[in-house]
Amino acid sequence: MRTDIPQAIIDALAEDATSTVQIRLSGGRTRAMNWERNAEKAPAWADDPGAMDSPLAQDFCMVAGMGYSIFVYGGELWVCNQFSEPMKATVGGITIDADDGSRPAIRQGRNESELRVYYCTGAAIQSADLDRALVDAGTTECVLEGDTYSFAHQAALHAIGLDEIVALWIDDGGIRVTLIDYQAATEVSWQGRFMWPGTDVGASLAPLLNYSAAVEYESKVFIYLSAPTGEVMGVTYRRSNGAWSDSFTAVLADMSRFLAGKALLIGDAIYLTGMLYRYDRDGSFTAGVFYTLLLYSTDGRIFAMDRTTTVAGGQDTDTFSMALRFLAGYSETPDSRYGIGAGLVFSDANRWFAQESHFGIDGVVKGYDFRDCILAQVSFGQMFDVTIPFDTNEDADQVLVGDVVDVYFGVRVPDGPMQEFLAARCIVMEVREAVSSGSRSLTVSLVSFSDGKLLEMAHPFALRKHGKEFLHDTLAELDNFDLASEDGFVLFPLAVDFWGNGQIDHETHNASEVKEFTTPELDEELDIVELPEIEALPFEIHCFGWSRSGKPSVSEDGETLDDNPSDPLAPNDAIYVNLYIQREGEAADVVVKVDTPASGHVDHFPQTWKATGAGDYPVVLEANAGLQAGDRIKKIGLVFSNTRTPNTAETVFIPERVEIPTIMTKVRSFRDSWKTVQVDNEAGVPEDGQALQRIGIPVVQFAQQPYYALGCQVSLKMAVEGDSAYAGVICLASDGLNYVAARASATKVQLVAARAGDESVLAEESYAFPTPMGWIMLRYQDGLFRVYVKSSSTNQWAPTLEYEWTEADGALLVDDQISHVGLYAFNDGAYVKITGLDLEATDGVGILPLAHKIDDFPASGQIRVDDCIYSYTSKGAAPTSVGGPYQGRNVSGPYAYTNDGKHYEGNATEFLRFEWVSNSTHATDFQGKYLATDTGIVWTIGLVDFKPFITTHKVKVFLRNRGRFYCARANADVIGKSVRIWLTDVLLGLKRISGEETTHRYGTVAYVNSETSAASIFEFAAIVDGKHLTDREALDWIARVCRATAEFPGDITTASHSLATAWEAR
Amino acid sequence: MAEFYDFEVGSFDVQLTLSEMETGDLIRIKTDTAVTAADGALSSPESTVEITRLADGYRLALLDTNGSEIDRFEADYPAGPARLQVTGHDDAFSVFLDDAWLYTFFLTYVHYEIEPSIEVSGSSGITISNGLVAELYDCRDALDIDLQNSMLNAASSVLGQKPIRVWSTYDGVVCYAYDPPADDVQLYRATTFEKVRSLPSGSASDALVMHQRLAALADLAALEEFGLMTRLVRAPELGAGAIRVGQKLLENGRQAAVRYMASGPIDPRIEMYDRVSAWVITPGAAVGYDATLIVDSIAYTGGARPSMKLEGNRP
Repeated sequence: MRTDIPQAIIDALAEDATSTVQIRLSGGRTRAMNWERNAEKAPAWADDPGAMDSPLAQDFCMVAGMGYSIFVYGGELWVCNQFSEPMKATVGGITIDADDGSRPAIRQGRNESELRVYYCTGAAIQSADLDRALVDAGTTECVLEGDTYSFAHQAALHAIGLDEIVALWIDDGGIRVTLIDYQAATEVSWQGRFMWPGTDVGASLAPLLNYSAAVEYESKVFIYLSAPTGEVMGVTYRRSNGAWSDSFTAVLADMSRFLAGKALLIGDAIYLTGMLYRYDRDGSFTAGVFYTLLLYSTDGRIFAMDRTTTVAGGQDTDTFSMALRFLAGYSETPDSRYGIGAGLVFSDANRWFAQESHFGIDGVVKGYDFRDCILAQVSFGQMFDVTIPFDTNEDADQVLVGDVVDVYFGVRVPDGPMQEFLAARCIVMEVREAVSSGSRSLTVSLVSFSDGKLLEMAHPFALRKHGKEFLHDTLAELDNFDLASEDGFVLFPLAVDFWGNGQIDHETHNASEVKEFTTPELDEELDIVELPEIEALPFEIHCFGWSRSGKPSVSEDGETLDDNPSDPLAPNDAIYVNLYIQREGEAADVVVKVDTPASGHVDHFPQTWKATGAGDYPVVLEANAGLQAGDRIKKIGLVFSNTRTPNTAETVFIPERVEIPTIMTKVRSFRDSWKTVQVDNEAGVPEDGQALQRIGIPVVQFAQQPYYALGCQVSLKMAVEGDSAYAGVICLASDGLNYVAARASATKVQLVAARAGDESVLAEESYAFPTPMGWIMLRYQDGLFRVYVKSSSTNQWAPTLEYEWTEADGALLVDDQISHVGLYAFNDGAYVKITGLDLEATDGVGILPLAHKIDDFPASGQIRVDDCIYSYTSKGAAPTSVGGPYQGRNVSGPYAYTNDGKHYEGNATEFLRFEWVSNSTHATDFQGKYLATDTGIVWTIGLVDFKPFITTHKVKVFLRNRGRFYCARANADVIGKSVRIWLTDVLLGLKRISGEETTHRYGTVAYVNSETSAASIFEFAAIVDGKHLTDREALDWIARVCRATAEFPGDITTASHSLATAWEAR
Repeated sequence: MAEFYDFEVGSFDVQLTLSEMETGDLIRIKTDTAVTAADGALSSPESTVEITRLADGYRLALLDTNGSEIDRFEADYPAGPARLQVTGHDDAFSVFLDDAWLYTFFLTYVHYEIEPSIEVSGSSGITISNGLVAELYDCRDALDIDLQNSMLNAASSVLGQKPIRVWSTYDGVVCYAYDPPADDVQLYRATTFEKVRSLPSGSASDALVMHQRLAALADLAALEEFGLMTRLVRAPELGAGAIRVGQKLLENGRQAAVRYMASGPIDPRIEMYDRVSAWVITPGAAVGYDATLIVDSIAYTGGARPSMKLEGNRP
């Protein structure tokens, strides 16, 4: 019930039903549209029209009715009033230097006769008091006095008080806000920073700080900054307690960018000037039209964007449009040359136009006043008509669609004057002008103000208001999570043999001939996620194989028994590598020949027959020339080049493999990640959860909600044992290889950033994680990461880590459209690739070459291979150099003979490892070492006959392409030409603990299965920052954006209440 | 999807301005949102968010009825007056100070009453001001407005099928409420009066409420008056809030069974959803006629004989 109606009116209307009611319509403009500005002031100091990445650094203020502009241009400070040309202020005849691109600030000085300016000069913020009269007179020597505050950052400055400024500056990857009390020489900085997840905030973004604004309102300082992503972000500083807010979005991006100019406080509202233009973040379009807007907010957090905020607009090539850098000021008594009463002066590179206050600036509707209107009916909540008497066309033209009008009812009270009450505040939705038979009428259709605003604003392209989306899950199942990447992988140094195109037998060629063995494409051959990338140059390539001079004997498919070379002094082959490179921007593969031996190395293997000669095993080449960082290796060719001189003859040779120890490959792993478990919690109550199964690969799973989260709180109830098992949570995740994780092992807590799968520890703290289980929580807000740990029994979150993201860390997100939160677990156990495993054949398993983690395997323990777990009793070490793969030939015996001074007995296997050395001195070289095959055989080696022979027609024929390796367990015809053999590390004494598979193929990854290193997860919770989006919040936000006013009379409220007694709201 | 809820989930939203708290001062926001055990059995009929001033910040604790802590978090925050907001949304209770989000508690199992009750208590030296318990507390994850929508449509999408009253006031404000604060206007002297009785389409004796689960509501007064009439209410995104929606729809429907129309002199004090006692004496009649209506339509007629028309349902 209204209580603002004078009793006299109530009485008059009640007592006399025929009381005359007079209708008055008072209305006026809601827009300050201006398409013509004083174009005579050429914007000589402006960089370019339209939206600029390097906007002209300037500020504007109104003092005593006059507008003043300040610029930094050409490294100097310029100042002027709006009716004069800009001048360079001087001190002692010397112009004032200022940082180019830094934003100066100007405001009234100690009194109306002075101006106070602030500007940046290298390591300081300078202030200067200018004599306003001298400025008006164009006298450059106008500085009265100045001061200095040490501040080593180029900043955008905003004077929010005589001695108080806000500085926005780039702080190591984010934009910090500092509030400086210039007089007291003190400052306070926001603990957070403005960060844009997909943008690397470096020095190049400094000019964009000019698109910022600051204003004080209701004892809070509001700071705004236009984001490269389109929206305007804000943060507040509350004077009463010195608290900074979280960052918030003050102006949403609507497939647009809004470039802020200046914030003004007029009456009870904050106005934000700026330029809006449409653009698509993905770059599909950028519109060439821009709009200069004067946005409006009554709370400083949500700005209206209805059509009445438009002030001007035009093509971005139009140098005479107001939008180069759009500023404004307000004055109750503007200089007469502006030609207005109280109102706004808009400034753009010192060009201007002025506009009297329109609706909202002071809350009063101004413009026209029509009495004796005819009203058929006011129907609240619906559109209604009022007919206006008018005399001239000028009268009629005053009323425009969109005007705000107040409908007053006047009532003649007994014995008194006419008294009025406001019956409705409305918006003009339609104006109908009619003339007929000499009479004319003007009828306006009105609707209640906020209804009209809601109806009127229909221009959003795509606005999204986020609520506080969250997920809370007890993890009995993982059906609210998605595996971040199917391509789980482990890292191995690049090692590849040449069997991919078929078995490798020995080869021969004549002098001057070249033979290349080429791998298949590496991603298929090695089952890797992506082609290996060259990250740094130079790097070494290790080539394995052998080569000798001479011909193949008849036993080697030669044509003659004589395998001697035509030149007994001939050398073996030279070795080089062809790298087949996939290079960005190149359609075809780039082939780079690498034939330069690394320092201290030669380009050939040792030669033991016919002639002997020193060489390297492996041949080590240095790759550099012709390669670029970022190249990806698609294939590798190992080349045997029979070009060594001066002696030449045929050669016999065989390739084993190529290794590049410094280039890592990402080998796929397809193990199940989790197994359902039940574990007693701290109260002894069993909890359902998931135990991590996968080893060697971080498991990253995205929560299905919140779907997109920047600021967030993510927590996990978990249990960990051992140093190498981790569980935790992730945020800012674009995919399974790029994320930030907070993780804990039993002994430490870490904050980790992963980029392209490579994890780096950002912060770490030793911490005994609670047992039997506890919580870890990651909170991220405005560039600041905080990690907490909680024991379930104490319920107290302990702050454990804090980290500020830095510029060196790169962009927060590799894809700023995707930012997930989720689960993380990692068992950093050791792993290797096996040559093959067949437990029915032997009880050992061979390890493929370049097993960089074999040393991390315990002397005995368990391994997990596919779905099987095996125990092993010991490790068997490889020879000095892991050899192979060699082509197998046969298993024969039992032998009993003496050869080259050494007696041999028993069964042996032969394979194509050739080394013509003395048996009497070398037969025991491999004794106690192991051979392993890709069929799963592991045999312990006894003696080796390096000069094996056969007798054919009583003729002794040496087999100069192989060795005969005696093994106690060699039997049966299990090794032939299709079998690959290595002399390598092995695990021995294998017994199956679980699993059903009996064989495991060549190249399968085997992991250490440590019972003392485990991770399990039990409960997950994640929520984004910002407020919960209640219906009330949503309706209020909608109303504010379109400049309506929403109220919620159903709320339970109290104006003030002492808690000496409770306040009950029911 | 894992379930955390015994029966209903819902929301609440409390906002208030705190006077400066001294170290050790505390304030408690108690709701009848219950804490339940894993088996869904009620283990605590109430839960409380307790905020204690520390030297450098605040300790936030979530307590059950016995005062036992379920969770606790300490946040650095300067002392001084601050605007506090505690919002419950399903199993997440969030605490904000001023414009900073301090922490969100998660309860594993919760049970909401259909309309939550809030009690704010604390150290006797604390004064709260501008206290507010929101009526429209139902939450959503996001609000999208695109080319297909005006802001009016966007507001409509928030309202959905909920029987939230929407009306405009003389000063151009738009109001939203389930239960408008119906001020009593004791007497309106009408010159004409009409009463219409009907079987309103919106009324029902029973409602099936389809929300995150399914509930059945009964309006025994409507059952007695109209007989068995069933109505389906869909509010799939709501929990306990859907029950409130169903109850309000039934109540509003039953009120619409009797509708009044009155006209007479303009009484500019009367606003939408005021509870008006209208009274009329027909010339020549021995007795007058009176009734009470909840005004949902007001129209002024100008001209030489200004008048007002009121329409509304019975309370």
